[in-house]
Amino acid sequence: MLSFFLMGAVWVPLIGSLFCLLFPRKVREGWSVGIVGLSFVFLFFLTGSVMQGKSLQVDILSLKEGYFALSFFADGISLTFALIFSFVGLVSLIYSLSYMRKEENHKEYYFMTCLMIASLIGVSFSKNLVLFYIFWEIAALTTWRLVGFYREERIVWIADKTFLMTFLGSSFMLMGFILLYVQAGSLDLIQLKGATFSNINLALSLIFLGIIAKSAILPLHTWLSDAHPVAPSPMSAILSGVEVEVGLLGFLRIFVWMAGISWDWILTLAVVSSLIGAGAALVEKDIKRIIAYSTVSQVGYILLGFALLTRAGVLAGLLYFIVHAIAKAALFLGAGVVERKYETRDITKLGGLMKTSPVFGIGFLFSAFSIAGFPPFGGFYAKLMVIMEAVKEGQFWVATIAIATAVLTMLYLFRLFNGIFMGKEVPAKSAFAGRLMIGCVIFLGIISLGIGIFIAQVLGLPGIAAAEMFK
Amino acid sequence: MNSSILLYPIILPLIGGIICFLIPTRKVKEAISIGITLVVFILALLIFLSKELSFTHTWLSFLGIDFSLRSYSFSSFILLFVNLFSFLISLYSARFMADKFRTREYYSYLLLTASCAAGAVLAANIVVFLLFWGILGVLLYAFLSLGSSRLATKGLFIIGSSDFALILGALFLYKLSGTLIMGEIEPLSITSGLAISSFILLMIGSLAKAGAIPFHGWIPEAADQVPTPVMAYLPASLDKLLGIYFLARICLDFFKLVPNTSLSLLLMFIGSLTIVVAVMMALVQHDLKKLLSYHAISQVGYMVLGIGTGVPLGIAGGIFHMVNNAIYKSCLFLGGGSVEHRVGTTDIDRLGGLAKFMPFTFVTVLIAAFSISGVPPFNGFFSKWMLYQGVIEGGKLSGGGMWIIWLVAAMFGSALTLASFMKLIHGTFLSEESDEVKRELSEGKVTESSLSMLFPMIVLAGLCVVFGIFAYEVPLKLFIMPSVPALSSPGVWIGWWQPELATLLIILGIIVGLIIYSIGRIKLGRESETYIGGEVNSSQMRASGVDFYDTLRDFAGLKRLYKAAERGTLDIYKGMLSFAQGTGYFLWALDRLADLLWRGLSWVVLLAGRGASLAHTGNLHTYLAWYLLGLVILLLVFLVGFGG
Repeated sequence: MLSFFLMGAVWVPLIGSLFCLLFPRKVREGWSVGIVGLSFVFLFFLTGSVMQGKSLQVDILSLKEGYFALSFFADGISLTFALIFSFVGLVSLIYSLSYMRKEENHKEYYFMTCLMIASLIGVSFSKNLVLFYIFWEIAALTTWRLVGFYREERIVWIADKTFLMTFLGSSFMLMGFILLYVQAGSLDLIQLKGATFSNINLALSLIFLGIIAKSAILPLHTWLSDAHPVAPSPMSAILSGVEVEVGLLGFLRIFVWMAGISWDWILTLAVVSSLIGAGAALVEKDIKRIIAYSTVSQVGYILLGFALLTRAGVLAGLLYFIVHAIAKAALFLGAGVVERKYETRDITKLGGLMKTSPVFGIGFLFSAFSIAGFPPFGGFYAKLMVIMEAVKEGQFWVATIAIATAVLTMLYLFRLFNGIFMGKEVPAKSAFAGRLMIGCVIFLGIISLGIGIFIAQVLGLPGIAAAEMFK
Repeated sequence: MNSSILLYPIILPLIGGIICFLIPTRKVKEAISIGITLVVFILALLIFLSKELSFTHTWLSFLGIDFSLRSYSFSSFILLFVNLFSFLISLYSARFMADKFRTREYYSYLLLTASCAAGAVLAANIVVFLLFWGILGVLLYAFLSLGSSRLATKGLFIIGSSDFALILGALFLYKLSGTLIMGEIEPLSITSGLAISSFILLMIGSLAKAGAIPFHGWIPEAADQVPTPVMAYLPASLDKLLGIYFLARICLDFFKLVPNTSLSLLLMFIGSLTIVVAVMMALVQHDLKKLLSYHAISQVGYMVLGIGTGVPLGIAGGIFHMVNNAIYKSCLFLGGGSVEHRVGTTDIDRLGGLAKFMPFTFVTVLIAAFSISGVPPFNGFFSKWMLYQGVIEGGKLSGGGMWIIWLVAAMFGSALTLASFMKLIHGTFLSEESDEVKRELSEGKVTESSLSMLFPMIVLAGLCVVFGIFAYEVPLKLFIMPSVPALSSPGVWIGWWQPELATLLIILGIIVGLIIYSIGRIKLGRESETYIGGEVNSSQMRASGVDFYDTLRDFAGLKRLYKAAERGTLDIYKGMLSFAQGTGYFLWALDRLADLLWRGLSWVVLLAGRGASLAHTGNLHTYLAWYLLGLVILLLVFLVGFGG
């Protein structure tokens, strides 16, 4: 029964997305929400047994030499990631129902979005590295199509940049996989776990390039801030909230879980990348560019947590991932609402929205507080735990830079918030209500608060995941 | 007593705060707010009487962090005062806030603040402490947003940044001591670099909360924007209680602050600077609330100075001054609010002569003003007296002469405080009525405030008197001695002050004076309006007293300093923002550089492609030439490689 749920969670959205191309419009919208929702429900059913520390394997097809297998497995890590992937995907899809109503090319949009969510879930459950790579690239291809959704020449260029930079990384990653296969004779993650061979550092370095390209970490981060402003907002929410974090899943799975290796310079890279992201966010004027740089900055914290290679560090990183995915999705969805209302994204030309829609403002504010790391929101615990682990490991400078980044984060988020919601009131360009869209932002804002309040419960699943890794 | 009683001061106001936010009826909110704060005050009294309690609940079990609370002599005494102020302010607000907007938010923030302050005071685990402390920062943002968003952002940036500093300091402390439980930390000596940075970071957090210079920027700005009870609640009382409580804990429990070390001198320097600069600013203010807000900053200086001495007597004096300051300063703000409520302005220029119409307000403000100026026998004098002795004792230990600077700064500050309050009392209560007051008078608006507003002021003024006259019997014995165990008994202090005797003598003196005055009055001829040169004073000739000290502003050396202070030079906020902006631009440039690198790569690739496409001419003869060239190269390679 459990393997049925696992397979359902992967295959329902993957195959279901194809039907988005066939169905008429009304059915298509319901269908896409339905398949992703069903996948989320399936994943939810898996939590019970995974929480007891059991892991689950399903092998559908396996080639003789072991270089490809259609095999999946679920443990704490994959379930944590997959749950958040499908949850953020689901909320963004519901938001799209209103956001995309007047756009063209619905077929492509829903097909690509569902496929993207499915491939993200696929990545988290893949047991075979080639399967892992295939899902990884499906996600990259769908990102390419969705970033370039509006088809203007400049936008298509940016979409190409997005794809080329991540592909540059992932082709190195593929080389790394090949190197692993050549030496270990297997591409099965469970067989590779704990295996030792001579050239592992080279293989891991190549894989690391793929990871930083995908996760927008210095120096391969520059595509993210270009991609966001041109992408549809729900797509941005998925891209920054969860898709970018696939790279971190790769880091956690391959570096921490499989090889148990991390290097000290990764810690420095993580905080420096984080600092640069925060600094750039303080300068930019475009709402979406600011939030995109914020992602660059926050991803650094998550990587820092993982790269510390301790139980509490991994737990902190996982919590950070959860908190960030939800709050960041809310910020992008909020940016979408503002864009629809004012038809501009320049914060110097906005203002005073708090007077007309205070509840929306509070939803947005909750997410901003969460990312800035204020209690009682979820982000506080995540940031505190990551930095606490860094200090505990004796990385005082790393911790100091991380705190400096936190201060900058607070500054740029409130610069953003004040720019949109406070100050002189700017009349809205369109009488656009968007109750469903605002509802999504508020819902996510409340979840950010809820995570902080029920922190002990939220830490349950990531706690299992971290404990599995450091038995 | 059951230790779960410690949870109620946190949970009850929390629930109350949520209910207040949901219920629109004003009367119900007032009742809930007053009722809950009263109940919690009684609970705090019970906690205070039951000495030591601790409560632990498993929380983040993966990390070994428990939700633990502990009350002992120091924390339960602070808790008692926090809740006393919560109760008095709620009571006062019922009438004051009746015609104001956004009372729904006001009451809910008030209760939530009470809840989190209780949590921060009782927290036994550093993470629990950081949690509540941080929420207080968010609530400050919420409170200040009642004023304006600019102000709220400023408050959040200052408090938020220092909270992050505090977090880092607390984590360094955790690394040094190896435990997250505050009670288990053995006082560490501040020698290693890590310990020094930890101490300084923690110090920044607590000083910013208390509002010392340079973290004071939001307080004067808040004064004329947020409702007065907020000022009486946050910068005047609660922030001082919490900030100085934590500073005292840093210096007493976490670290061994040795007198006359550089850190001790740093603290004393910040303290003295705060005293003098803020009081100089207070002297030239025209607005009652702004003037009070500068004093709220100035008084922190005394506490910091006292704690900075590192001598038990000085620390005890600092803590005592903190309590006293919370009492008289909130009394002053409430008095100011009472004036504002009746006359509708707090500009001293437009006030005057209110003593006749608001006698209770006048007397309470007068008592509080005497206390803050350090006039014996009120409480402010006593704690300052202790502080001075602490400074001298610390100075004697070192043998150097630095202590004289600190002492002079403190005494100078005290004199200027008196001066500025003379201006306040004169301008508001004693001078002739301004046109504004006359107009309000003719409408019958200027009368004594209602009892629910007077009661908190009378209680606080009463405490000023009691804590001054019976200092040894009440506050020192109950609160200060148990909190600073190292404090020697009052008998061996350098300066022995006998408040009861002194009070008796003062009262005797006043009685004698009154007798002489009334004897003189009997012989007085007639009374008439004051006149100058035969003309009865017109209202234009009224001396409101606001410009008493404006000469200071024009004083040669001071002029520039005042200009600088008015521009906000000492305010860390502007500097912080421009520094952050500069850093931002630098980092942004680095980011663009990285982008340029990849763009460059793409140009290189395109260029290579262009070059290759030039070679593809479609001319077969050219291709044949290329083939031949390739063949020659291959041959050469094989010959060189295998020929040997």
